[in-house]
Amino acid sequence: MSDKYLDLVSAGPLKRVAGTLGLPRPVRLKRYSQGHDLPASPVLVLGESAVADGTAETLLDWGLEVRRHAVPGERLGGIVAVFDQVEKPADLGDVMLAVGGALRALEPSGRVITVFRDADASASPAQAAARRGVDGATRSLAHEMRAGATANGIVLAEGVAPVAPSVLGALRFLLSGRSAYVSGQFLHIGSEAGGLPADPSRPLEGRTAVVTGAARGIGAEIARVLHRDGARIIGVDVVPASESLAAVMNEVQGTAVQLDITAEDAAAKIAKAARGPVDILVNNAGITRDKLLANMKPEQWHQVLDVNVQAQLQLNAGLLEAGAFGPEPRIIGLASTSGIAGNRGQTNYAASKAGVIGLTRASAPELAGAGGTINAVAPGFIETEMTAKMPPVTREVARRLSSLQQGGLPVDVAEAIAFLAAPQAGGINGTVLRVCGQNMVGA
Amino acid sequence: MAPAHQPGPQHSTQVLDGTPALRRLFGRAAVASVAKRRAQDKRLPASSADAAALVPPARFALRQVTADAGELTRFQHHVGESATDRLPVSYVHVLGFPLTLKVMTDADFPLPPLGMVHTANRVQVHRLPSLDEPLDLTAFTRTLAPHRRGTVAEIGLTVHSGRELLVEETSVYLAKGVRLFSDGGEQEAQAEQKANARGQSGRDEFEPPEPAALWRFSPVDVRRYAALSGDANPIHTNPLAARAFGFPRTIAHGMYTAARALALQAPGGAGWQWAVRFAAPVVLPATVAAGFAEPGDRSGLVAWHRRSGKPHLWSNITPLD
Amino acid sequence: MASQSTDTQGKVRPAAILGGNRIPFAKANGKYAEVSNKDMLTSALDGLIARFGLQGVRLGEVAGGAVLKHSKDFNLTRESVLGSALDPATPAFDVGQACATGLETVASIAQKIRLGQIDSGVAAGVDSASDAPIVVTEGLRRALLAASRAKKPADRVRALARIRPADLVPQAPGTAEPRTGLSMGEHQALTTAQWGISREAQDELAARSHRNLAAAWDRGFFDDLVTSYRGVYRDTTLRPDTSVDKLAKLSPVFGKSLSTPATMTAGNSTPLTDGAATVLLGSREWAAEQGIEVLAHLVDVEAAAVDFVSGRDGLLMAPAYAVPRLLERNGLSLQDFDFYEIHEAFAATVLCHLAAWEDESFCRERLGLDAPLGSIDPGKLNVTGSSLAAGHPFAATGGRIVAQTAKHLKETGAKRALISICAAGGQGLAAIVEAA
Repeated sequence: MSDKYLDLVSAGPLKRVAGTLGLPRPVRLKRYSQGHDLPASPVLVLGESAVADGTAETLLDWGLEVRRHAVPGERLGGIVAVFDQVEKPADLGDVMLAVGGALRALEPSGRVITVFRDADASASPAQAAARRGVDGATRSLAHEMRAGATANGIVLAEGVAPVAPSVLGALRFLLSGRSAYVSGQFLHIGSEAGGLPADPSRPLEGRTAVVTGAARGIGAEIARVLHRDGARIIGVDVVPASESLAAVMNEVQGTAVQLDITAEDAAAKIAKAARGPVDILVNNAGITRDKLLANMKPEQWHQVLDVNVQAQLQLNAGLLEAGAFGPEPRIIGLASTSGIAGNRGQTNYAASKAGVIGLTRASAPELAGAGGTINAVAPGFIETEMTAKMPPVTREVARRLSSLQQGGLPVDVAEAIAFLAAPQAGGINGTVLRVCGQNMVGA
Repeated sequence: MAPAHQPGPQHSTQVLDGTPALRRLFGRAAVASVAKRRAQDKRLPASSADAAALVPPARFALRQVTADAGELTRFQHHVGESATDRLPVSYVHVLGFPLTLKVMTDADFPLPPLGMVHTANRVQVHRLPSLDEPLDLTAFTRTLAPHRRGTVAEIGLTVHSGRELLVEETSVYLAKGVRLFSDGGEQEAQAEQKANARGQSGRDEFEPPEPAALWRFSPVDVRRYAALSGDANPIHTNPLAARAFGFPRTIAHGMYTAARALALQAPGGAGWQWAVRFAAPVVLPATVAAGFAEPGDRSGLVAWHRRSGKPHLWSNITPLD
Repeated sequence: MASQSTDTQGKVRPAAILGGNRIPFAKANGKYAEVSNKDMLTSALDGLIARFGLQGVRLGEVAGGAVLKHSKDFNLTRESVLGSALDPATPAFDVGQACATGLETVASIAQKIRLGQIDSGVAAGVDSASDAPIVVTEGLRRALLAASRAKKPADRVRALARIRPADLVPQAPGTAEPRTGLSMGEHQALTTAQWGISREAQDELAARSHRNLAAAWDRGFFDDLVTSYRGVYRDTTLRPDTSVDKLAKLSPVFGKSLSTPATMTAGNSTPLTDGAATVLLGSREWAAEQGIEVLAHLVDVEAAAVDFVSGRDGLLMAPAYAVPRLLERNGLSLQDFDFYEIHEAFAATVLCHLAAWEDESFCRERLGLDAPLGSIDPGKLNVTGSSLAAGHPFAATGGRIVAQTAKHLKETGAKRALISICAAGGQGLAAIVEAA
């Protein structure tokens, strides 16, 4: 992808900033394309446990080249480091240092994945310290990655078998180009729910997905990716965007529904337009009305909260109450890193997006009861029309402050959503997945 | 301006206030062409290994460009597209054309711009721009390379909506007889010689498929395309100029025939790329036949001169890499 | 068309109205000035396809038409289908009945569905007053044809030499009636005077049309009937803030040479407009297969024509005859309807019809009835706005009205609606739409 960063640093006011930060030239991230799901180069599986052995078996089943020890001079597509049996901090060193020794062999856009148990359910303080230690080391390692490589973790709740569908699903997602802009993140597998799709290249076959805000930007991309993965798309957007919505829907063989999602009858209309059970609801529609709080007009505050969070609450509740969902509902809400870390001029937007995180966590038990899940995806700096409205200097700094030194693309957000919507993500519930290239802003 | 031989990412982007006046650019192109041909005669050829160093660093950009609905409609109708609110990618080329010309008429661009032949065009379409969308366009020299018949320049054009990349185009131009490099291109030249010695070249073996469409190109049609696209290169409109560059009469714009091909192929769906390879120019007036490589599949199209059977272009639509 | 009673004999089945889509109507020479009928129709079709998920679907047939049509658009509807996301194996045909074209396409598709010839279809209409065909003079046309027939250059020169400067003046198509030379407005002005329709009544009807259409837009009624195009997402001739007082200030434009005061203004006449509309129809079975809800049924249609040349009837008064014939065949009275959609070519057209149906002697002498048809509740007339506010791209109006009526019936749970549309040439169509 072409990058205007270089234009700006050499000509614009950012020249000095760039010089002092010493930012390197960003690389083109390797993304998913049909038939090129997983790394072609060998994947190194580190760790001595049965789980590590099982993981290696799984990767072999997927047709990957697997190594249990680094072969000198050989390039690696990924490293999976299994820490499921750590009991005390001293247990971390062997595997973590082995990861370090193999890092130089990692190819561009390579992957490091750590697998460990949830620290909160530890048997002893020492065990908790060790488990938590993997978390910290993984986050730091993500900052050290170069050339489009990422580091992420898979966290297993107590009692979740390492071959549970969601563990395998998470492993596959994190190894593949679908997670190109996900780094420094942890997928928490809370249960063994979910199942493996018959065809891994079309995991959403036979499912119906409602995508709000589908006419443009990230929403249109979500529609495309869910369609690519096999879903039937119901695209929702407002009347002024309807020509674009129709074009996107005709492209993905979907159905266009024009309405205002803040209207009271929106859920009923969507349920009707779906002509059958809704399996996936992607609450993507969102707006920005950036202003410092001191200058904020009431309508700017209310509009943003109404569209970004109140509408999500209404749609979720409306579709649940109407019994419009299928047997395994998946709800994915769009949050934002602004809702995690805050952002100057975005009190209204951050309130709405933090609200999405709140509602996601609070709704998880109800969805689990209904056989489904609810999760949120928090994009960081994604190249869209909306972010183009940011002041140029802020925008450029925002882009560069990620470990991948670039903004993400709408497709990166869409891939994360498609993953959470898929059958194999049934064990992931109430979580927030950041798609931000490990942006340093925030947690 | 940085010296041309300094390697590395020392790009400078010049953001233009408005679309440059094409007439003036063509004037500059004429002057620059004479000067550059003269300069080239005196300059020592470089090694092809240094090709990257010769690539001028200049980038030219237009920000927040919105297509005019009327101009778009007239273009769509002239090339056989329906006037939808989506910009055909052939029109994206038109929007970027002044920038492409700006790149080629820049003082640091080492090839004479006039008389350069458009030999191929590749476009990656992530999403077609919408009529009401303000677009940011940037054009730059991608590569320079030796060719058996001169030197080839690839001009890049990127189109963003906000920060979303919509379209990436690469236009390939050949400066015939201009040897920028002391080496390279020999293998092709030898191969061609051998082929000629056998009394056949690859092109003679072309066998047209069943024609699916016939396109009539008159001087009036081409003049209208010149007006609609802003590509007023005199070889398309002025018989004398055409003769000066070795054509018997005026020729159609390559992108005009390509735009008609694209309209017939009507690619849909998300993410696709369009590769066009130009062969013999369409000398006016002409009736051009077009057909599909595989019956029932519009993705591969070839267009040829109906009477002589000489191919004019190949146009292929494929999914994005 | 046969009446519904034959359903029980198993010979015909109901034709269901499933939905519609149009582009917002735009004032002539405005936002759609440069686009063609084919472009607008394609866009309206694509919006319909997107709304009902019909991409790549082979429909039974698509009927469409335009009143002002370029000769190159001889296959307008088929070309639009080819440019749309429908299966290219969907056949199409063009229909022409002036301003009744749109309703006639609905009737044609509905008939084929009722007879079981097709299971699904789209009825469509489009018109551009902006991109209207310019016609050359007869002299120029004949000279050019002769020149093209010439075998020798000398003959060609001779043929072309016959062209006179006056032949070169282009002829824009007008709304003048070919037989009388009077414009439609002038014709209506005669009828308006004949029925003694007041200026106030016309302005009141016009203001109500704007009010009703604006209210319908505001409550989202058009959310699933319209798809934006060229940056337009509401009908551009709609004036939500207009009032009887504002309309009263306009000067009359038609009927200024009559003995009675002129009453017809630009405010109570429909503006020239560009636009396209489509209606999706199908058998109940096809709708169920597709999972599409039935909005209403098209029950019956009646066409009528009047002798306007002699002045016996007004040019736009044919529906006054079509409606009673339709009522009689279906055993209904004028008051048996929950809603009335009477196309507002001019406010006075609607009012003349209402006056005629209330008029004892007209009903007795012209319609051959024993008693007047009677009056209708103005609160049931054009309740979601009509052509005075939305504009009237001739062939697109029928589709707009049918889709709007069917949706309104479904929404309100009402039973039956009457549609009537007047047309040039002294013609008119009336139709009955009933709840499914």
